[in-house]
Amino acid sequence: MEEDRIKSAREIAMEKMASLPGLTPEELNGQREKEYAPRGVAIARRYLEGVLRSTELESELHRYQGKEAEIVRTALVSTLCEAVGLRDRAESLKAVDGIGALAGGADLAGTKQEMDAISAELEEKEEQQQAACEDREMKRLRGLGISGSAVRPNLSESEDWQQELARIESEYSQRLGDIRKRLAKLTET
Amino acid sequence: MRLLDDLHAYVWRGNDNNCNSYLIARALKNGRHVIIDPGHVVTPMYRQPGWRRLVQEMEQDGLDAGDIGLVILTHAHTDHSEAALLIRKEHGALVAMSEVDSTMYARLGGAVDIYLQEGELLLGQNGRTALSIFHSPGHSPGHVTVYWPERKALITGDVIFYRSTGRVDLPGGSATALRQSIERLSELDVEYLLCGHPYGHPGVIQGKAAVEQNFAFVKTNILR
Repeated sequence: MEEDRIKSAREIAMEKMASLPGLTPEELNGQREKEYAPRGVAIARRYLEGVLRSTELESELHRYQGKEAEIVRTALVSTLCEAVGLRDRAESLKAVDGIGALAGGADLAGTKQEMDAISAELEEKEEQQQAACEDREMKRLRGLGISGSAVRPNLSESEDWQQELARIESEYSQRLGDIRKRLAKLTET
Repeated sequence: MRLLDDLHAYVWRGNDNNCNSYLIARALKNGRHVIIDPGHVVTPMYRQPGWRRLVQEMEQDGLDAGDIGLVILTHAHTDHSEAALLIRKEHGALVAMSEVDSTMYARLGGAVDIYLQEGELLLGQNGRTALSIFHSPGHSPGHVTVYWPERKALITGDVIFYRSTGRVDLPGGSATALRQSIERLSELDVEYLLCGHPYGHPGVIQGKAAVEQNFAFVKTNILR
């Protein structure tokens, strides 16, 4: 009969799949990573946004097992570590608390103090450099014939300031990187 | 149109909404000009060429738009500010306006080089052109007006027009603030009241008596 020669879409798909080569272990790992890492990131985001408490992080991780649990945990810790910065103190402290909870309730008061000290140092340095940069901009404007008490250069449009800012940030990013590494190490099981 | 040797008024004569522009010629070093409120590039409704018309009128006065070195914006509304983006991009002019209104200007894609605050704006060699910048809110929260004491010229943007005032129903507008701004500006010694729009009149009011009458009319009939 005519129908006997017509294959269903499902049959065609199954045949095609059967003819495909199997995934290598690396590809399988990659696929797993793609699927589970975003879950860890999502847990971190929900925690940072205040939807989850630090005590709930471990129970969220318990939903996963084996390799999957490892991937979710790594992504969660990595996102929390990235949230540790020198600009947003509240979010940084929350991230540190989250990492502390994942590290079995480790006391991270010292780390917080260290971060505060670095932030204060960075802020002071920026203020000093900003004033210097503003002076240079005013001088440049005077050179064009623009001056007076009504004039305040917008440094965010100044290349000079953007370069200075990048330089200061790179100076502190190494110290911040060390803190992040230490925090990540605490959570290693 | 040349009002004085170094002060030019470009009154908008199209049918669509656009602002009047004012220019202080050769005010900066290297003979570059300062323009206040260059207006629309093209008007929104009838697509009239605001910027091209302004360039042509400047050329008739012997001025090259490529020599504009500084654009002062009284406020961020597009009928005053749109062409500033083009002038900055094509001619490397700096843009100056209040920080408060710069937020709205940034939403239009505009970048501000100088934040203007209340005080003195000195232009040219040894600051030979001394302007006073007044914070004049009401039409917009960061609106500024430009006063040139030596020429007794006041560039008002959308604070006051001929027998009328700027709207206060737009975001950030305030009738109370506008009233205070107008009261304050009316105390200045002004021979040239240079308004932001040609509403029912070119918007260039000349002569101390005419300027005082206009302030009196607005205070009595509009700000009551």
